[in-house]
Amino acid sequence: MIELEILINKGDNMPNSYIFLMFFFFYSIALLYFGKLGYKETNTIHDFFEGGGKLGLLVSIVTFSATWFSAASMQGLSGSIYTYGIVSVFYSIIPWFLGALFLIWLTPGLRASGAVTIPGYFKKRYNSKTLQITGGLIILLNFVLYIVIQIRGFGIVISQYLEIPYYLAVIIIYMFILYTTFGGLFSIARSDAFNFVIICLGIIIAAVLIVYKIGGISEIFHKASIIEGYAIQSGSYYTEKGSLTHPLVKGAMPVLSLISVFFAWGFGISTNPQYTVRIIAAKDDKTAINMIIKSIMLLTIIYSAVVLIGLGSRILIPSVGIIDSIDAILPVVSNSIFSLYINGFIMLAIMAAAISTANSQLIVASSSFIYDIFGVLSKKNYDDETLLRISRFVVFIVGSLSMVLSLTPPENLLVYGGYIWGVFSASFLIPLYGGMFYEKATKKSALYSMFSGLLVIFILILLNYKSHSMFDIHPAMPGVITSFVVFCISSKLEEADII
Amino acid sequence: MKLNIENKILIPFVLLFFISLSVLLLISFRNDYNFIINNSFRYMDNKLNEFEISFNENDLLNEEEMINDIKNVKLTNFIIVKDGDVIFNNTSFDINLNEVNAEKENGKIKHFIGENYLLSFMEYDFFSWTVLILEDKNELLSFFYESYKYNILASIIFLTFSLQITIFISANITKPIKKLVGFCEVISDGQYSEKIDLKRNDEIGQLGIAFNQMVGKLDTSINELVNMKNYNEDILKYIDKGIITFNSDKSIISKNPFAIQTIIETKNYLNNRNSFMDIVNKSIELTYKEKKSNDNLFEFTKKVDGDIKYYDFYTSIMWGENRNINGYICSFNNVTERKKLESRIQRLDRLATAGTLASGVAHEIRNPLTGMRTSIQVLKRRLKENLTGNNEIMFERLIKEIDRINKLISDLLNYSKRVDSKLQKVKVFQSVSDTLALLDGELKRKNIKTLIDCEDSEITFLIDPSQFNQILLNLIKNSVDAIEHENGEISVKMNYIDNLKNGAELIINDNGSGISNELIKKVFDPFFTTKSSGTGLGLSVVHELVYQNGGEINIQSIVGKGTTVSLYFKTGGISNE
Repeated sequence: MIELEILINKGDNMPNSYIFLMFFFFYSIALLYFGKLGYKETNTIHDFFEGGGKLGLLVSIVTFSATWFSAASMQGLSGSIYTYGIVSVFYSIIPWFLGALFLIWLTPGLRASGAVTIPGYFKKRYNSKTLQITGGLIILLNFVLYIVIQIRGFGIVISQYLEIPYYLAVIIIYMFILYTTFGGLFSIARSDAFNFVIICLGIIIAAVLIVYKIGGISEIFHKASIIEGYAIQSGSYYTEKGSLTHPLVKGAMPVLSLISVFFAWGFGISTNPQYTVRIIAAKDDKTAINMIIKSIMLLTIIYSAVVLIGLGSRILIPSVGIIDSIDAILPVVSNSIFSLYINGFIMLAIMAAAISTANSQLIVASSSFIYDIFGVLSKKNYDDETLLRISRFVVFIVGSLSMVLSLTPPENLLVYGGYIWGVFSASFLIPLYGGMFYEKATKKSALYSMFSGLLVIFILILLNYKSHSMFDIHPAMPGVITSFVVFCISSKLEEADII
Repeated sequence: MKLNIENKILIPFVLLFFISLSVLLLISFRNDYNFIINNSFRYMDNKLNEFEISFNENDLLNEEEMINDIKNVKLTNFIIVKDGDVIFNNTSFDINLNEVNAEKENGKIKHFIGENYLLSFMEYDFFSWTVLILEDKNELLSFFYESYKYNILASIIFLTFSLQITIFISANITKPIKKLVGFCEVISDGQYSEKIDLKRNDEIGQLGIAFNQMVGKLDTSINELVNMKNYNEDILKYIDKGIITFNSDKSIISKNPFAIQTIIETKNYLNNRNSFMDIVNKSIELTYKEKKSNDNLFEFTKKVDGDIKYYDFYTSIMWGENRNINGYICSFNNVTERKKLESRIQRLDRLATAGTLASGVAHEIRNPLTGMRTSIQVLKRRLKENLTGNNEIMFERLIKEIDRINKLISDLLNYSKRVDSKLQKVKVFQSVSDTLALLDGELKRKNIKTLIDCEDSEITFLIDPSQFNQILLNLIKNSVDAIEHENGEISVKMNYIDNLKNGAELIINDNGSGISNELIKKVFDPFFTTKSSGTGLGLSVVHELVYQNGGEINIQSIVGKGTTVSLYFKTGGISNE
């Protein structure tokens, strides 16, 4: 037992990573436990993808919020606030919440349609297999790319905290995402509940400590308003004095850009299958709407804490050294501000945010493949057991694809995420809401609208893609507008033809 | 805590993985740690040896030159102690010399592990130097920890991965078992037609197949059993026999619907102060005591109106295996109608006998009587001059008495001679009114009130009109005769007895002296009379006529309260006249 004594008594010699390893170990065991709970209840693919359509309010709120609160929210947003200031609130949080309000509007119609996916709704509404399959492909591809954000978010954190290579961290999250997703939505909902508690704990503790250190919330805003200089020493962005607390970064952010972002983040949320699946999985309409409203209330608290963390960190550590991207700011800063154990919690919160979002997205991607691509193309009828096996296999393939892609990750999670959400709004928004609220919408107008929106946003992204394009007009705006215009024109034309 | 099968598989594996990985980690930690320490010592020992060699090569140098030489070659972590004092130290550590002084031995390398450093030292002959090589322990260990971290991480990943696989496997193994359990619950809810498909080819799959076969057989057997049970229940339900079963303690287990109905119907009937259930219990008690079956007939009388019901009770023992008594069974049926029929047949027999006898005797008596009457009339004429006063009256009385005998004989002959009934619709109300008018003088004389309660004055009986008049006259006359007090009252009530108006009822009720239970059975017998001047043929004739016209008659009476006679006839359809 001499070794143990050494381990305990000579703790000073031990690197910090040992403490984080301990945190990581307990988190792993807990996640295993919560993931396991779902396995028993999953008997059909309906259970697997939509939790049998019987999720209660509390579970719905927790899983909705945990899915919502991703690595982009955790590191992307806090890093963005650290660097650019509260403009990030207008760049992300406000569009997100506005988008969520659209979801409330959508809920009764979507649930009444009996569709389980958005492309499934297209099939029911427009009776078009092309729309359904294209929708399925968009979801699949988008989520393969979006899961990369979560894997990267997790990979950065774990590699920094545990001082291990990035690729090893990627393998670890890959393992957890696959595991929680294999249990289906029941497993995801359970592990989401656990993850959300971890997220809240980590963020609230960090925010409270930062506010305490600086001496009050108003003090944070006051001190932030006088900061100037480079946030990242190796970076090119210089913070003007007062711009941190200015909504438009003292003019650096054009209002039009900010509005254009709404087309990506806001409309992206309001068409995002990862939320519509929660709406469908809720046990009734009332639960679904309550879930959205209460989740927004809950998230408002959490995001307020994130804003405080971002600004407070900038005050405590006005500049960080050489880092790859702003997403690494949170771990770096918290390492220098907090004690070892608080850092452990923050590490878990970051991990939880990444895992809880990634598994939901993985299952949505798989459900799209099963329902909207495989289900439409396959002529054979499969029993539930076989479909479950196929679904798990798809989960495995999609997860592996994302994992491979994340080995060469994008630079800025928030901007990258905005592009992906933008693809959703450019392709899904008009056919979905148009179909729901415009009776005369036709199959052709939906198809043209989807493809034109997609085309525009793809071209613009390819022309425009760079990590610091935050202050440009978001490609989603021209995309959505094109999609809308094409929808209107083709509807009118077709109407005229019929007459 | 109750563990399910999944956890029973899972928990041992979790413990197994955890313990073996922990042991592995500890062992590797110990080995790696020792290896690093030993390696450092070996390295330090080499340094000491090299120093000795170089010292021996430079044996011309004095002590001071030697130290300068050491400084020049920049030997690191080097300490020289002489006579207990440090004379050279190019490390950053202050050495506690106590341990060194205690352990040093000339010409031998010694090792010491301090709190922050490792020491390797040797005492040399030259200059009485003890040379120490020092290694920074913290620096050493931080390298060690850094590399060892990967062992721990790998272990956690391995543990997590193994547990995930274990969870999958245990879920996979236990899923069909859980499905089977769920299936059993469905079966125990009675859904025997369900089938289970486990989709497996292993033993569990075979279990599923066996289960399906078993449930299939169970389903068939249960269906048969249920059919049999329903069949038996139907028999018990629809049989016109009351059946009450008892357990071996003589407590009631079941009653069939007829039994329940009978118990309700006989609520106010008594047999010598015993209620219906008293008789049932007594019968069972008797069977219990005698250990044999019993069959008895019981008569129950309704106290209020004297109605009588007859029940035939049969009680027996239900024997189980090994001659154990499983319980008792009491069955009974209503034999009232049968009893009534029997008594009617007996009465008819008696009537027939009386009729035959009467007509036979009547002829034989009438002929001599005719002779007697003629002779008396001749005698009366011959003796006309000599007949005075009382004698003449006596002759007259003789003739009258002979006439009366003749009338009786005529009655008898009428009685025995069947007159066919010519059925037609007769308005009951009209007939009753006519009869009451006929008897008006007598009713007034006896101050008897009459009441007619008529649901519909168009009520008809399908009956021979003259015979109906005779029936009414006989019955009302009987009622009048029965009333011997001042407040006499006769009520006549008539009503339909069914909605289709196919049958009607006429009830004649008086508040006269009434007839006792013993006598009421005989009232329809011929020559039975309670009146001094009666022939005992009135009610007998009524009875005969009623049945001849397809009707029914019932008589109920309570001594001192009065008598009620109910007549029932078909209406012959609703009268449109």
